[in-house]
Amino acid sequence: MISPKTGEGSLEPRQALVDVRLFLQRRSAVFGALIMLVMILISIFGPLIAPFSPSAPDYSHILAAPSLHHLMGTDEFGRDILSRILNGARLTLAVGFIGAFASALLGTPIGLATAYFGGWLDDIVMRVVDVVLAFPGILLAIGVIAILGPGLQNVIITIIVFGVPMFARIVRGSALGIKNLEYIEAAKAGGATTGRILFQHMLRNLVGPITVQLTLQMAQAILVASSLGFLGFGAQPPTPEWGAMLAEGRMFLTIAPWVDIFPGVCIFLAVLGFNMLGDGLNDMLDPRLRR
Amino acid sequence: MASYLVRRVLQIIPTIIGVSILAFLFIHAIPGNPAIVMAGPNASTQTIHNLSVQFGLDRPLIEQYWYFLVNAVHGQFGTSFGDGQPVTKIIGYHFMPTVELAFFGLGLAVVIGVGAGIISAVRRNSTLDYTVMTLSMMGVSFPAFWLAMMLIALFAVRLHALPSGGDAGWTSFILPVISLGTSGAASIARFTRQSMVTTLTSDYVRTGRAKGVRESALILKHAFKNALGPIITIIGIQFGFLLGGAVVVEVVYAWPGLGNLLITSVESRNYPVIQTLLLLFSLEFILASLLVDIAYAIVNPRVRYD
Repeated sequence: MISPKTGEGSLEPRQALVDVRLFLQRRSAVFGALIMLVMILISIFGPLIAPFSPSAPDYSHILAAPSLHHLMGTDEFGRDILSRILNGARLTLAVGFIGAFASALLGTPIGLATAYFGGWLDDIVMRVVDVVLAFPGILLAIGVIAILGPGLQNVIITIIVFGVPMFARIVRGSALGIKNLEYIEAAKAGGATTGRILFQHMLRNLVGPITVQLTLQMAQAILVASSLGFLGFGAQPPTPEWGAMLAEGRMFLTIAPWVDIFPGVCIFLAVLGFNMLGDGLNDMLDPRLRR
Repeated sequence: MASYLVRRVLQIIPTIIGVSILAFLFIHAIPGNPAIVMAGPNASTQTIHNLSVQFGLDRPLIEQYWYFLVNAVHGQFGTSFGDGQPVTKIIGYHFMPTVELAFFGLGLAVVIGVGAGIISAVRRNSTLDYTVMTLSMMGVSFPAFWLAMMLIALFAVRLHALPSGGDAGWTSFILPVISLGTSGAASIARFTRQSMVTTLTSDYVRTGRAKGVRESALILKHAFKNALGPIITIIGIQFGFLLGGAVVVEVVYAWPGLGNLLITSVESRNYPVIQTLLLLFSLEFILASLLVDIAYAIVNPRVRYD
């Protein structure tokens, strides 16, 4: 859908999806992209480079402070925290990716259709969106978990339940701004089908805001998933999910703070990375902010 | 203004009805017969029957919803499992601690956020601006519960300076309020800066400067007043996040509020309490949005005549 076709596209008010030079000027975006790259690498190779098993207890090294042997110390079962973090990265990233992409995939067509058709469809769908978003973020998630029960899979579902209306609202807002532009009129006059107008002509010009929202949504998804993990509603022990690790380590905050410091720093960096990337992309794609 | 007010109040009615339907359906969304799930694995048929009658689960859905609404209007939300107390009474115990926490948390977020945002906008592209914006980017990325734990580790465990939890005197407010207010302050700072940059670079501010208006009056009276609209909007949105954040922060600090109540209720499958809390939280959020829109209309008269 991004590949330009000959003859059309050149007259559309479209920006290149990624203008590399512009991107590299944004230090925050570059930093965010680097963090994301590291996260992806750890997700793939983490278990291979982990020095210890993430699950095997070692009762002779319980709650050991960080040292050359255990760089981030050990937890209450003597498990190496660095190894657990390296093994847990893929869970965090998976929740972020799946949660955000599924939300975009379901929410974008809804936003496009409501903006384009308007009328009663728009009224009804947007009222439903208002209702779902009237439940403050994590509270909706807790409500859904109360129905479905705890678990990482259900956490992803709650993220999607909240993400879809979010995307629908944002895509609709952006789509309203372009649906009366001349090139859409021209496409209509040229006999393009509704589907083609929606998913080719309109969607192509919304790639910017959707990408930004996708990135920010990943940050939100990671935050919500780790909060639910911490509350005991997400991944269950002994899964090395970072939020669940913090829930386990909370009891040892007074005597072994490293159990709580490192997983938290990792969540923070992951969220920070996606936020900075989204922020940088937003600045880049919004010419009004370039000053 | 009056007609705008009426229109805006009427607009939230469908949302409130929708929220009430969602909260009502919550009990029915539990897999299996709600009465059996609620009664637990070892319940007698009599208990299950009583629960069915208590929630009217043997009636048609529409009728059940109607009774749910009528009861809700009368302030009746059923009884809590376990101790059999009225849900409203239990929520009453936990209401004020959360309100206080949210009030001070939002207060901190607004004061620091708006202040830092204005300074950043006035000194934009300076080192100070970059520092504030970097800090605010970090602020929105902190998981609130982790920040809460780290503050405890530092100020309560290491320095013995502040209490690590509970609700005893004003000192026990300090750490929870900081944990709760940080991300809000960071968000508000970013939006304030953006909004202020827009007004500070506009023509009427340049004209004012050329006329010789004092810089402080220019910033606060001319630019800030016009930047206020978006700032109020983001403060309203932050209130919703704050209610959510209060849940995890309350758990970390053993704060006797609604958040802690919600978590223990989910753990013990105390569905009437969960249902009422979901309704309450969303109504608060809707009310906050309404207040924000009214405030917006006051500072920006153009909105009223849309």
